[in-house]
Amino acid sequence: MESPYAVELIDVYKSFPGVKALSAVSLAVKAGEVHALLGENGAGKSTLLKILSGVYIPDRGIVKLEGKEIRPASPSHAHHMGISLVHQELQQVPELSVAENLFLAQEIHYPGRIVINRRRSAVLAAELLARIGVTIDARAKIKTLGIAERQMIEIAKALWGKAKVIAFDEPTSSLSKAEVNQLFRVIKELKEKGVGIIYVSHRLEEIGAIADTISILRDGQNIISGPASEFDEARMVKSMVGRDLSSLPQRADIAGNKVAEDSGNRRIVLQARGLTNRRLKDVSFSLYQGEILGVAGLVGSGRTELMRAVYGADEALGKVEILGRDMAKRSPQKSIKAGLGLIPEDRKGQAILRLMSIKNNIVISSLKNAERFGLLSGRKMSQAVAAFFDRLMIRPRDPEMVIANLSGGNQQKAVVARSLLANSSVLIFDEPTRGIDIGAKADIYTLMRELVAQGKSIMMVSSELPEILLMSDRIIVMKEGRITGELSRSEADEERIMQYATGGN
Amino acid sequence: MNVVLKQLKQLGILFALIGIMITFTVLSPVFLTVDNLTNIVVQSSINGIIAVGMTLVIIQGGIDLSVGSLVAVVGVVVTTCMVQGMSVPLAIALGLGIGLLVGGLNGTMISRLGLQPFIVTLGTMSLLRGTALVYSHGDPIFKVSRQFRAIFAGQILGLPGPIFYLILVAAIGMFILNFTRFGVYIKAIGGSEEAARMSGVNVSRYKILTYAICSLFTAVAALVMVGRLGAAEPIAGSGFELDAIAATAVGGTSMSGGKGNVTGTILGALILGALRNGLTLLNVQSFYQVLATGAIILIAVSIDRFAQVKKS
Repeated sequence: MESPYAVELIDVYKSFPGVKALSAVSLAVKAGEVHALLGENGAGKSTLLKILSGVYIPDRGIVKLEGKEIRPASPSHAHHMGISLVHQELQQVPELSVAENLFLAQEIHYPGRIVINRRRSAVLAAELLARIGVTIDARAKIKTLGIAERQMIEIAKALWGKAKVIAFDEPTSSLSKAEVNQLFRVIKELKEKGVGIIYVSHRLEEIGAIADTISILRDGQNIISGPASEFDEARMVKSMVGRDLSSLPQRADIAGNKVAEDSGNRRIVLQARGLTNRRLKDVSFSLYQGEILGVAGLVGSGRTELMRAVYGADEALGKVEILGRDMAKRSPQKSIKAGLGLIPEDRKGQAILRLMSIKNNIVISSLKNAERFGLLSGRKMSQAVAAFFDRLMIRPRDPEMVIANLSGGNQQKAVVARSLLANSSVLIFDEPTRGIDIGAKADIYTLMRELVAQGKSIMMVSSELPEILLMSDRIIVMKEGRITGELSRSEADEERIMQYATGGN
Repeated sequence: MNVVLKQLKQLGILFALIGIMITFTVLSPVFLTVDNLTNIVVQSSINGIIAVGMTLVIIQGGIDLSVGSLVAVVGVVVTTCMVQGMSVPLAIALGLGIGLLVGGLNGTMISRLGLQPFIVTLGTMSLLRGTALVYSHGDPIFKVSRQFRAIFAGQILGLPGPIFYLILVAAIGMFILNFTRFGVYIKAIGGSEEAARMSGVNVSRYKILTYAICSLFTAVAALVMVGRLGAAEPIAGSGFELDAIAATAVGGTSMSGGKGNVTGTILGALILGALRNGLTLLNVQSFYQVLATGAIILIAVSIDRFAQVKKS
């Protein structure tokens, strides 16, 4: 008997030491449907996907593929059976080419299976890439590509072979709108071919656009499952967080900052003049006290590079003044001392100290203040940190816990706490809500508003235009290493920003 | 809970040491005597002192292969200077100064020029060995004064000198790692260098400092060795870098940086020392001792790895 389901997970349990990740979770994905899987970070979505793709073995429960029970023992085993996972984290070898990465462990050989057929690999890779509509040279090394391009390669990789089920884990978190549309087209094609799609995302508007069925997990348990037509955003959010969070703040709720709009006697807290390096061309801007300055632009337009140059993480010609102090030779250390903090885009690689406790992660930038007689004082450190657990709602409330065990949202809060503890009054948030769940996102937005109300000043880089429009008092738009436009809160809309971000001159 | 796990892990190494000791006690009547146990600690002290510095360097994400050659350079230079009439305090200061200088040089090349620690210290390892050979024309130097020997090999606070310096250096190492800002930075740099830099840690300064301290401790080990032997040799200390790395690894410090502790390293040095001592007592040919040392390193690291996997 043919099963209508491409893949089923029945009554699955999985525990880790001290944590029940999944209990009695079931999920049934039909062939040819897009099944959205929702839940806050830590709800168990990733664990479920990892069980499906053979990374974890469930403690109890059954996995069925087309009605037959299977026991995926490793990702390559799962892949051979027809289950592909598009990872949230990019899992690629930077020194290898696009084609080599696409066919890693499934190389295309000449007969004899010893020598790799490079020419054929390149052709097949190009075909695969063309299928998802990207133009990337298959011979280019991965390390020369941007994050968005690498994400597209991850997707192309899942298409290789005869996938029966493809699971997408937050595939769009670093893609532009055009790329997202491209991805949706590919997903629709796959659907028509009868592939079962599992789609995990925090972007609820995407879910509405693409999902046929929605399942929601909370705290490792099934909460609800049903046709997408029965869900609106409010219901999704409510089911995910378990409380009536009136979704995210709306733009109309945020009046924009009076201080920031009163252009007369505004104090400049950060000024950059003529910043120039490999990725920046003569960039100048000012940040006023008490405002949130949004920095928009496409991926690769130099937004992050500008922030890094200002902060002193990258070298650049030109002048920077922080709170009136001229920063001659810039470094992160000096910037922090002068009152500037940066919350990096790449949380895993550049922000968290993954082996260390939450406490150490928060105090790392202000250890000097935690000393008594030249020695670290455990009590001073704990005292300094304690307040932030309440103020930023960092969970779990265990300062000694290793930060790598936290959800993305809580890690992000700890990184923000680091800058606040260091008394930074000018803060740069680079993609502050990337890959974090909706509850934490709302917390971060509220916090940013609180901070500017207290007289701090913020620059925020974001690829999500709604986020830029929601939060910014003023917006600068970058393109190819230059600032191409500036918009006030009242002038700004998606169309104008995109014009500056893409337009000729 | 984390702390308990950490303790348990260290207890594991302690049990390994106790296991080795029980085995040898059964096999040899001489092993478990005060004299012999003291002997083991004294014999392990030079490796232990160097290994403390090595531990700091490895936690910080580096490696120092030049320590063995540095032992020779400090030994021959200090001894020669004393033979030529330099006062003992000045000679000691000179020896420690050479240590700081070499470490600073290693650290500077690694942090400011961005060279890999393995390659840089491989280079200085040869450079220093060559220096020791050229300086001494390849000959050992004797006639170390009694005053010098008393400072490093005599009784200090009721302890044999080498043991005293081992405890001193270990205490300094633990102190740095657990009670100072510098210690947190060492772990931060070793765990995620880029994140440490973005958090405002002056990465190159603390890298240089870590290598300087490792070489300073190595210089102390060299002085202890000269004190014990009453002579210095330009070929002294060859292979010491490997012993120090072995003690660190057996002690549970992660070779990829970010995690580790001095207590484990000291236990690691004692395990290696007890093993050698016991096998010697049993008249096992030294070739087999080399074999056994290798086996112990692999077993210890496998057990550690196994414990880690179970934990996660």
